[in-house]
Amino acid sequence: MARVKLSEHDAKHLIYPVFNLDYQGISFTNTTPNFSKLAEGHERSRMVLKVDQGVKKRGKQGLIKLNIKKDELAPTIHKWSKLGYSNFLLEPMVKHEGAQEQYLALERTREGWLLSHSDQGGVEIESNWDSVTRTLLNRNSRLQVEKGSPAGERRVLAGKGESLSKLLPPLIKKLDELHITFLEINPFVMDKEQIIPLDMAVEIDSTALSLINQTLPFPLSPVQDFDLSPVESRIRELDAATPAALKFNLLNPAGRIWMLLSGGGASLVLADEVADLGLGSELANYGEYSGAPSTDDTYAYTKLILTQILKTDHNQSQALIIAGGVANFTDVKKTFLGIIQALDEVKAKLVKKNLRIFVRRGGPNEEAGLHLMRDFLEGADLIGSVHGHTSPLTTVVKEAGEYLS
Amino acid sequence: MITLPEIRKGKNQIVCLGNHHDIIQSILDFDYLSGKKEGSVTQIITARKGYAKYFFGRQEILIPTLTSPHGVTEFTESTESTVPWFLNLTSGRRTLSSTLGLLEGLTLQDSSQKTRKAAQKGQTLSGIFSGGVLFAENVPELHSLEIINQTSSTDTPTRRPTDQPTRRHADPLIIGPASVGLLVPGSLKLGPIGGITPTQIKESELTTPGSIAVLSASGGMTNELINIAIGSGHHLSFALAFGGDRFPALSPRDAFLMAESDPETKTVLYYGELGGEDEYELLKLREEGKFTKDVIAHIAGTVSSLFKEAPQFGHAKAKANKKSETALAKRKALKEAGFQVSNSFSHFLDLTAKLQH
Repeated sequence: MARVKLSEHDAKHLIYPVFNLDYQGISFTNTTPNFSKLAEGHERSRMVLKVDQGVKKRGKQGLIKLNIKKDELAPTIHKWSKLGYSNFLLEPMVKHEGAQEQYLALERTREGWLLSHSDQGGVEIESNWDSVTRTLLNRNSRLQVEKGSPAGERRVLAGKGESLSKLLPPLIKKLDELHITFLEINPFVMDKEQIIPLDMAVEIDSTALSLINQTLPFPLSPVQDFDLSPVESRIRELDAATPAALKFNLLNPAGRIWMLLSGGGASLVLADEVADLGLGSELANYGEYSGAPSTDDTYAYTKLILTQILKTDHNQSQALIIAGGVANFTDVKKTFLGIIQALDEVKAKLVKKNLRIFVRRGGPNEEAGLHLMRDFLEGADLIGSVHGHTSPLTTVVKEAGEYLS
Repeated sequence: MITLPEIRKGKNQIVCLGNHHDIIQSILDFDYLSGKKEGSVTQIITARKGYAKYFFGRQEILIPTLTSPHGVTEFTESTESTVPWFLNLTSGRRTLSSTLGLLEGLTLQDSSQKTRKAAQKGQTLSGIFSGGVLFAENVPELHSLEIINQTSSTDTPTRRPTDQPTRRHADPLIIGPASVGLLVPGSLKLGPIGGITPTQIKESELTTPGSIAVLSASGGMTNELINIAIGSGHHLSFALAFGGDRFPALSPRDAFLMAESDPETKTVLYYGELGGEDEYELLKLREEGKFTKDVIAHIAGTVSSLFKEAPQFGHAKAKANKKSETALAKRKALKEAGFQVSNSFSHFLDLTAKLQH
């Protein structure tokens, strides 16, 4: 795993205390009972309603409703739910002028925190990109952050008021504590000495989630993509339940090239090759398994992919590429046993779909694994080809392409 | 930092953190097939004190197991030619604490007077080790940066002064996280790199030295490139996987400098991916005349453009957040700098097939 987005609610909840602010946003979903009553008790302040699922450019997509009235709440949620959104955020509105909006971002790099700042923040920041100044805060300022602000940030923030400069050290300390890798506050306004963030985006290092959650009263969970297909959701659940990595993105359910790949690098090379051969529009999915999955893992993973293949409603020929590099330590036989078991359960249906299977894999127990696979595919009348480590990685893609044409 | 000629000349010895049977056995198999008189794994730090059973050729051997780094004393009595390594096989969550524990323990408690002085002078943590490999995936970014901070001799490790005389242990060669290791044919197999079965080691001719260096962001693709080099009738000068994490302790830049200063290496085969901007550092090396050898490079990730939103691929770094991080942008830049860069993997195979003997 890697850098993942947090919801705006969780981001603000974590960061507001650094600014000595009390966060009053209310997070809810379209299944929360009586959500129309959430605004009660806030009658005197104006409220803003937002979709809160890590979506970019919400303002431009109409996924933010300013100054929302109590009776508009339910219809707006209903409308957004129809678009596939399920997580929302209700916040008190901050009165301000557009011209006061500023932009601030901090990104962790190898050399230190990269600070970006602009006086012209807001929804149009991308067209005002030239106004953004960038400074690298030295990596060691991470450790010395309490001792004072480095020269760079003083230069960037010169004339912006001492208050913002003073805020940076405790902010960075907080980001490190929480393993946050990216913070964007766009826009924020300054009210005298006080920073008031209007919108906030945060990315967190998912590999540290279990460490962070030990220190928090409530567990953080990264936002899920809002438009996942059922097969993608199921595979994510599967992935979460095993120490191995199981990834799957559905690109084009009507595509005729299906991928069951292994290894982070080899899977990328194989998917690239499909696109490079001009077959990008036929690529149904991208995915990979790695980290020495068990036979049960590859069985469950394969089964879900096959269910998706069997859902296709055309009868044109299709290809399934089962391929990977020359493994260092993943056992080819063990992983193939699970794949074969899943294929075996639906082999007759797959034959009816005019599916051919193209295999390439190397590594520990390669010979035994490939032998099993070849025997099975020949018996089931699904064989396209079976290659070991002596064949180039990408030959199977070419063969699959030839079969489809 | 230790150099490749020193590794080839020296007696490489390895302390393993974690008892990963298949990987450790493959190192011993490599040693045996290389014609060494004894295996290079000298001690294993694990949950139980005692011995672990392994094979060196047909002979059963016992490797001492320890529960803490304080017992690692073997190296302190050894001769000048000993090149001490560690191989960290623990989980991603434990990689930081176990690595620093090992280095701190050995700096303060057990190392010889001489080493302690060197470490104090360099003000870095290396204990007695020339270097090590961090195998685990899912090491938190901050933990990687902490390891880099604690073991590098300058504030910014990517800009190490190269003209200064290297103090042997003050600037250890740390590779990873998420690395399958470092391989120097006939001399050192530090990790599962090249495979874990005797068949793989024999078929890939990993014990025969040659002139091709394989440098890769991906463990699987390291092996794939080794396979391609051998298939084209060549052998390796060395191979290493710097890992697909956002902050590899040994950056691609450092790896290229290793290849440049190695008299055996003639050509580099490089595998990189979309995400991050490490490749632009390679470009600078070329422009500054600090890297002059032949390179055949493949940057994977063009498929990213088929997605609506930039997806996260298998490795932690493999996501293009801006245009400069895309595979296409990196390919173009490297090509302009004079590297041989493939347009597709088939093209990469064509380019390597034309390698001169």
